[in-house]
Amino acid sequence: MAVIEVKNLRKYYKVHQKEPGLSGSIRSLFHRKYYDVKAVDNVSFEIGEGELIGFIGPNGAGKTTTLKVLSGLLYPTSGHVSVLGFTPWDRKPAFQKQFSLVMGQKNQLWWDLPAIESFILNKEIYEVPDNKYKKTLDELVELLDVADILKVQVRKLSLGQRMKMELIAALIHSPKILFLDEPTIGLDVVMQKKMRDFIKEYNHRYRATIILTSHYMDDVKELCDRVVIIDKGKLIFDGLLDEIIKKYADHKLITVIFSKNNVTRADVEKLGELKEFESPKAVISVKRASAPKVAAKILEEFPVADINLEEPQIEDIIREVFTGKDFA
Amino acid sequence: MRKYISLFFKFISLSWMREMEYRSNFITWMIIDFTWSAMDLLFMLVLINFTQVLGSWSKGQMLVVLGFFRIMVIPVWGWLFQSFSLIPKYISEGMLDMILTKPIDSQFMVSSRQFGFSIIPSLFTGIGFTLYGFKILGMFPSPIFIIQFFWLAVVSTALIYGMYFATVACTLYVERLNNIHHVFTSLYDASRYPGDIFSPMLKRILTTLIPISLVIVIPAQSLFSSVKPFDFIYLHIITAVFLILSRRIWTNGLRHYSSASS
Repeated sequence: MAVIEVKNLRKYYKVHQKEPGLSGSIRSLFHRKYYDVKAVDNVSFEIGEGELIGFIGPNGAGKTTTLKVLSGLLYPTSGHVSVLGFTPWDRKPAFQKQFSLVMGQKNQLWWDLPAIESFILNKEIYEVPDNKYKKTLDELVELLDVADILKVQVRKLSLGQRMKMELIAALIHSPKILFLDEPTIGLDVVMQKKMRDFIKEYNHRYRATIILTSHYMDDVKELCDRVVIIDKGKLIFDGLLDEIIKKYADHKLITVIFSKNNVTRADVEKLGELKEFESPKAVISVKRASAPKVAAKILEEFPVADINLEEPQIEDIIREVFTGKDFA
Repeated sequence: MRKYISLFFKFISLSWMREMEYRSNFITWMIIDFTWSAMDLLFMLVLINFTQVLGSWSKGQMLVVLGFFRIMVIPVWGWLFQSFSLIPKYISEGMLDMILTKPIDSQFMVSSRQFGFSIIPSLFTGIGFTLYGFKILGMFPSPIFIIQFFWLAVVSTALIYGMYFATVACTLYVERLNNIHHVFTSLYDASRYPGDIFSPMLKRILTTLIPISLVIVIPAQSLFSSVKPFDFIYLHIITAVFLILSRRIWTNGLRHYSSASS
């Protein structure tokens, strides 16, 4: 059953355009030109209970705007949105008690106080009973391993530690839906991994529905089976991560290590599109259908020490999709 | 309602804890507040030195008004200014997002999120000026006058809240209006003077469009003379008007809120 339904969602902004330079600034004081930005343009999708899906897209694609509409921060220009049966922008407390929004670049913790004070405040705001608060806090503190920093001023915590505390503050009322907007931004690789492990564990343990936006493909690859790709406000893909390869990559990559150095660039170029050539190694892109035939030909005609036939990297496919190039 | 009262006190306690983290800053601001009180008194004494009557007000009455003005620093600067000065920043930087997702009235949340306590000296200097004013007047208010005064002080605080919040809530309609709260605080300074000292036109503006002239004078006046029934009713009506107006500006403005990019 879908807990989030989005049909034909549109969100347009009016943005003013300024001519360059000082004279442009002065002119814009008296006369401003406005144009519509289609931040989200006719997007539809459904998300079931307990799903963990990845929203991916380049900067300005409309990911965060969609999350903001789903969490009731923004009124849409048109379209239908239902989250847990509520219209988000009605901002009903019964709805607000069931979701949380975590934004990697915005914080809700009291900067000058230990994070525990913000947790207690959220307990009162969300009217969490004492025993449930204690149980949830203990579980989250254990999962994130932050017992020793609960009483340290937030401003004295590292970015990673602060992000963990932000997550606890967002989860203290055990939301059914979690919107995570770039939760790993700015974190080092070790901390990114810890955050991913936590998100995965939280999703499994509580069957929470999670929408994650991230620019780090590792986040999406490790956490999400299903991804929604948005570009220029439009939904261009909604499906399993593996299907992206089938849909957008009609080629495979053959990596060959030659056993002799007498193979020339010209020899290899005849086999397919040469992606990399640094003797004795070559990477060739070939049509998916002809990949076995080309591999066999290489083994037959060249001195081969090692050969590997593989799918292209998901990051490369998505990058090519965003830049509007054919990936072949 | 109980939840909101409890949260109001929770915000006060969090603000106190925050203030205590920076003791030097706290003490410095206390000294500054004390200096402002002294400057206010000095200015008033210099003014009155040239004339025993200002408008239709005597020196003792002026001191009672000044005393109440200083006491009102507690809700105006210790509460409203602390919370309201952050609202334009919340809006322009998108921090309002984290408030709007909470299951609590957003106007309440932005209105009571922060308190300051370094203005405590104003309470004592305000009481001191008031008592000194009564000493000069050679009288002390009756219990009825004191009860009336407390009620009018509450109504005046509500009127200041309405006017001030209506001003800062306008930030929701534009991209950036970071200093809008200074518009109100600059006008508020005029409230310490009786309306009689202004020109008829300015007096009319300061009692109707921007009724800043009522918020200090009417409650302070109730301590040493009976308040005219018209003034009493008018203060209540205009307070209700500004409270409703500020609510409308806020709730309608939220439809214009476009957050800020992440």
